[in-house]
Amino acid sequence: MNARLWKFLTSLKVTVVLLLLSTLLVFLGTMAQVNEGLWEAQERWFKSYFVVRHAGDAWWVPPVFPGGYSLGFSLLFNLIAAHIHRFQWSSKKVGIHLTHAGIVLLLVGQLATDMLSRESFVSFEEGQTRDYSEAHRTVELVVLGEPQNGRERVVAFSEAALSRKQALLAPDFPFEMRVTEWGENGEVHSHATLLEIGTQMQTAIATMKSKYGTAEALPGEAERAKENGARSAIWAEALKAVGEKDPDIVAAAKRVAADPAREGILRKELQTRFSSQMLEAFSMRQPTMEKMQAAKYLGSQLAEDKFVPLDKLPAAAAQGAGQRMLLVPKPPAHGMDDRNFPYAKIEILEKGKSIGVWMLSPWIVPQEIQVGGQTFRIALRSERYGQPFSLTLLKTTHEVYPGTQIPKNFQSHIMLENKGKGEKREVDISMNNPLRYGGLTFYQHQMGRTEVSGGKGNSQLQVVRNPSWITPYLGCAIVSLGMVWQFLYHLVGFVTKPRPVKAKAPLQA
Amino acid sequence: MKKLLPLLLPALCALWVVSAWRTPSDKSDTIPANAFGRLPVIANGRVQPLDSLARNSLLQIREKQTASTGTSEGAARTLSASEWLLELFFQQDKADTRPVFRILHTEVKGLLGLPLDPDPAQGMDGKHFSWNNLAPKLPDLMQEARRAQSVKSELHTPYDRALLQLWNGVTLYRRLEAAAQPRDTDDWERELREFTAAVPAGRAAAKAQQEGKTLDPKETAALETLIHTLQHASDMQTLTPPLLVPPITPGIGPEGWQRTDESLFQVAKGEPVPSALRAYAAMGTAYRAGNGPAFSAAVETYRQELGPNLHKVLKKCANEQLFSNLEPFYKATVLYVLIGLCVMIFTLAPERFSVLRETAHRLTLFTLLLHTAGLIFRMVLEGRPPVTNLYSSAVFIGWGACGLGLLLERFWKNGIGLLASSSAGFLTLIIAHNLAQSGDTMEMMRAVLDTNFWLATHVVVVTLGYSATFVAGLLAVLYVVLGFFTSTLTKESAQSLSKMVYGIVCFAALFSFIGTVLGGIWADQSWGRFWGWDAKENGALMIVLWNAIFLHARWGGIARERGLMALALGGNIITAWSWFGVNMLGIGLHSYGFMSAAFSWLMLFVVTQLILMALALLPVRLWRSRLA
Repeated sequence: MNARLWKFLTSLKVTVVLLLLSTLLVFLGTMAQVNEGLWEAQERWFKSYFVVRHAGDAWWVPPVFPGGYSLGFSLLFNLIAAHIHRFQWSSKKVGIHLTHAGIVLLLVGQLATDMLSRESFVSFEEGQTRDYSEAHRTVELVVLGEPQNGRERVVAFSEAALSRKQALLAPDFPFEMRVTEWGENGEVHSHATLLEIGTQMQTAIATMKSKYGTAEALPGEAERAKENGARSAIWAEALKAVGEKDPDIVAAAKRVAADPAREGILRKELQTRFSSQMLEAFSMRQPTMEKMQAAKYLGSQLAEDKFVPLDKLPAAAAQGAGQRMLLVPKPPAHGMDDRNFPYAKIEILEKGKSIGVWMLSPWIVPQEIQVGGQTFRIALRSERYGQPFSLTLLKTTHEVYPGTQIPKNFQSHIMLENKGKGEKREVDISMNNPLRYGGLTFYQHQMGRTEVSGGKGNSQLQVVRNPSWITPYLGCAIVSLGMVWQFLYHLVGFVTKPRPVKAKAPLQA
Repeated sequence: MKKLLPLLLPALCALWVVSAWRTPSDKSDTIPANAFGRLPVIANGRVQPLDSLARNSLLQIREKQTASTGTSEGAARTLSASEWLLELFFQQDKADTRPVFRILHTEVKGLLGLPLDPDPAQGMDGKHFSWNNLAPKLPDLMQEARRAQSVKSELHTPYDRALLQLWNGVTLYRRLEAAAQPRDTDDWERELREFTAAVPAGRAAAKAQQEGKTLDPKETAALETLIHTLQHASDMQTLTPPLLVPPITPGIGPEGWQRTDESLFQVAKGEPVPSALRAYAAMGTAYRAGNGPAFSAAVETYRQELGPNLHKVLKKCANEQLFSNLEPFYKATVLYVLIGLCVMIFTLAPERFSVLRETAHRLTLFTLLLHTAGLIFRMVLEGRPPVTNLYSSAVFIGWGACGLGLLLERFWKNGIGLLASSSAGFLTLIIAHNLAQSGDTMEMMRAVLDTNFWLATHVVVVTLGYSATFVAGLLAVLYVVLGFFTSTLTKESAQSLSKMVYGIVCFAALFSFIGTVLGGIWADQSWGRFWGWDAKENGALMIVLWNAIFLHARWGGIARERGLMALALGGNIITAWSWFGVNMLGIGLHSYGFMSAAFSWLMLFVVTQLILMALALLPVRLWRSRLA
C-alpha cells in the first residue's frame, strides 16, 4: 500500500475526526429519539451505515451523515492499523495497549450483540403457564390442525414471508395459501359495534344540534348552560368568536340572537364546539377497549365531516370473521408506546382452486376453516419462540410506597419446570433480580391487575437471549485496567517529581 | 493581623456553623412549634418530621421555606414552616388569611381576578395571595387546570405551567388542611370524644336498623353522632392527606400507617382508638386556646406513647429537623463566596496578599469538611448513597469539584485550585438550591432504581466524572478570561493551567469511562442489555468520547494549548447537556420530566461557552496577555 496513505489512515488526526463525528452522531441520534422514538432512531442512526435526510425530518438533520456501523468499523480499522503501524513494547505503553485492546473487544462485542441478541417477552396471568416467549414487533401466520396421534399440528410463517406475498405451502396440510394483501398497520372494527356506537353518536349529535336550531332557542340554552362550568366556558368561547366578550353569557346570547347577521355563526360555533366535546367524552365513556376504539374511529371521521355508512359497512374479507369487520389501514406507527398491528388477506387454495379470502389481524381470534373434511384454525399473532421448559406464574406482588403511587417493588413468583431435565422449582423475579436459565434471561418488565378476570394479577417478563453478553464485561475490565495503569503511572511520576513553588505562604512550616 | 487572619476567619466561620448544631428549642409558655415539627408523618412515601413536610410544602406553594402572616393584623411577621403548618392543621380560618400562594403569571392572576400590582389597601403585595383571595374563583381554576392537564406536557405554554403549579399548590394546601382534623368543626376534641363514646351504641343501632327494627331516640342519637363524624372523615378522604397515624401494634413498618380519616373508619368498626387521634385533637384545643403548656403536655404524652414502638422513627425525625435547621449546604454556599473573594483579591497582587491565599486555603478545607458532613448526614438520613436524584447529583458534583480543586492547589499553590473549588462549589450549590424548589429532595426511589449497590458505584463514579470534566472546563474558562480580557496571565501560569487541565481530563476520562461502563453493567443486570442508546447513556458516552478527543488531540499534537482549552470548554457544554439536557428531552428511562425553566439557563450556559471557545481560538495577538 502507498506509504503516505497508510500513514494517513493510521494517524491520530483520523482518530480525532472519527471521534468528533461519533460524538456528533450520538448527539444527533439522541435528539432524533424525540420524534422517531427510541427503537426507530436506534435503527436509523446507530445500526446503519449512512443516515440520509428524508422529508419530514427536523431542520437539524444533515443531508447525509455516517451511521453507527460506518464510524464503528472505521474506528476499529484505524485503531488496529495504528497499533500494527506503531507498536512499541514498553512499560509506559502497557496501559495504552490494554485500553485499546479492551475498546476493540467492546466494539466487536456490540456488533455481535446487534446481530445475535434477541428480545422478546412472556406475558401471563396468575395461574397461566407459558413455554414460549413472544416477539415485540413481528407477527407470524399460524395454522393449527386437528391433533393427530395426540400431537397438535402447527405451522407458522414469518412476517418476512407474508410481506413478500409468497405462496405459503405447508406439506402436511391439504391446501396452500396466497397472500393477496399485506399491511404494516391497521385497525379492525366489528360492524355490530360500529353500528351500535355510531347510531348512539349520531342521535346524540343530532339532538344537540337541534337545540341550537333556531335563534330563539339561544337565550334559553345560555341560561341553562350558566349553571355548568364546562358548558358556560364553551359558550363564552363561542361568543368570543362572534365578538362578544361579555362575561354574562345570557345577556350576550340575547344580543346575538337578535342580530340576524351573527346568530347563524354563533349557532354553527356552538354546534361545532359542543360536538367535538361530545365526541371526546363519548370515547372516554366506553366500557371496553373495543368500543372505545370504535368510538374514537367514528369520532375522528365525524370531526373531519366524513360520512361512515353504518348500514352498508364494507366487509374486510369474503370469508370468516372478516365478513363482519371493517378494516381501517393506518400509516406505520412510530414512537415508544405505539405499536403496529399488521393485517393480511389470505386466499386459501384447495388443489389449486380458490375457496375464498380470509382477513387476518392480531385483533381477531383464530378463525376456523374447513378444507377436505378437516377443520383448521388460522390466525395472525405475535411471533413465538419456543422454550424447552415452562414457566407458570404463581403470584404477583406489586407494592407502592405508603400513601403514594410510586412503585416500590414488582415481583413475580414463578414455577419453573423442565421436564427434560426433571427439574421443578419455584423462583422469584423482580426488578434488578432477573432469572437466568437455559441461555435466556428473564427480567421483570410490567405488572398489572386485570379488572375483568376476577382481579387476577398479570405480569410481563422481558426475555433476552444474548450469546455475546460476556464481551462488554471483559472489554470493560481490560479498558479499566489499562486506564488505571496509565493513570497511576503518570500520577506517581507527577507526584514524585519536584516542582517550583509559586507563592510561598508565610505560615507554612 | 497577617498572622491572625488565616486563623481567625476560619475559626469564626466554624463557630457560625457549629452554633446551629443543636436541637431547635422552643420558648416556654408559647406554642412549641419546634417540638410539634419533630413529630413523625408519612408523606411522599417516606417517614419524615412534620417540619420537613411543612418546609417542602411551602417550597412548592411559596418557593420559600417560611411563610408570612401578611399585613391583615398589623405588620407582617415571618412564620416558620412548622408555625404555619400548626395553623393550617388546627386553625384553618386564620391560615386561610396568610398570603402563601405565590402567583407571578399575569394571566393566572387575571383568571382569578387578582390585582396585578401591589394593593396596600387590601394588604396585597401583588405576588402572594391567601386562600381567601383564591377561593371565589376556585371552580375556574379547577376547570382550567383540568384542561391544561389534558395537554401533553411538552406542549404546555408558560401560562399552563404556572396554572398547574398553582393548582398543585392548592391541592397540596387542601391535603395538609385535612391531615389532622376536618375543616368545618368547632371543637374537634369534643367531637372525637363523643364519636368514640358513641361507637358501640351506634354500631348496635346500625345493625338493628339493617334488621328492620325501629330505633329509640337514644339509639338514633348514637347513630347520628357516628354518621356525622364519618361524613367528616369521608370528606377528608377525598383529599388523600398525608399519613399522620402510626400503627398501634409493634413491629409494623411504614405500610401500617394510616390517614386520620382511615383511622376514624377503623375506630367506627370497633378498633381501638390510636393515640395519634387523641393527641392531635388535644393539640388542636390547646393551640386554639393559645395554651403553650397544655400543647407541650399533649406532644410529650404522644411521644411517650409512641416511644416503645417508634423509637427509631422519632430519632430519625429529630435528626432530620436538626439537618434542616443546620442548613449545611446553604452555609457552604456562603463560605464558597467568601473563599472566592479572598482568592480574587489575592490574584490581584499575589505578593502583597499572600496571606489571603493561606486564609482561603484553610477556609476551603473547612468548607469541604462542612460539605462532606452535609452529604454524610443526608446519606445517613436516607440510608442511601450520596446521589439519588438530580438535586443530590448537583451537591455531589460540587463536592467532587471542590476536592479536585484542593488537590490542584496542593501541587501548584497559586490560588487557581482554590478559585476552581469555590466557583464550582458555589455554582453547583446554587443549582441544587433551585432544583430543591420542586419539593422533597429525599423522595423514595422507584423500583427500577432501588438498588444501593449500583447507586453507590455507577452513579457515584459517573458523577465524579462530571465533576472532573467541569473542573477542567472551569480552568479553561479562567485561562480564556484571564488571558483574553486581562494581562495577568503569564506564560508560566498559562503552562501550569494547561497541565492542570490535562491532568484533570485524564482523571475525567477514567471516571466517566468506568462510570459509564458500570451503568452498562447495571442495565445488563436489570434489563438485559448492556447498551440501549438511552438518552442518558448517550450523554455519558459523549463525555467519554469528548475526553478521548482531548487526549488524542494532545498526544497527536493536533491541538496546542489554546486549542485544548477550547476543547475543555466544549467539555462543559457536553457535560451540562448530559446532566440536564437529556432530562429535558423527556424521553428514555432516565427522564425526570420536562424542565423548561432550566432550559433557558442551559442555553445561556451553552452560548457563553461557545463564545469563550471562539475567543480561545482567536489569534494570540488579539489577547491582552502576552503568551506568544
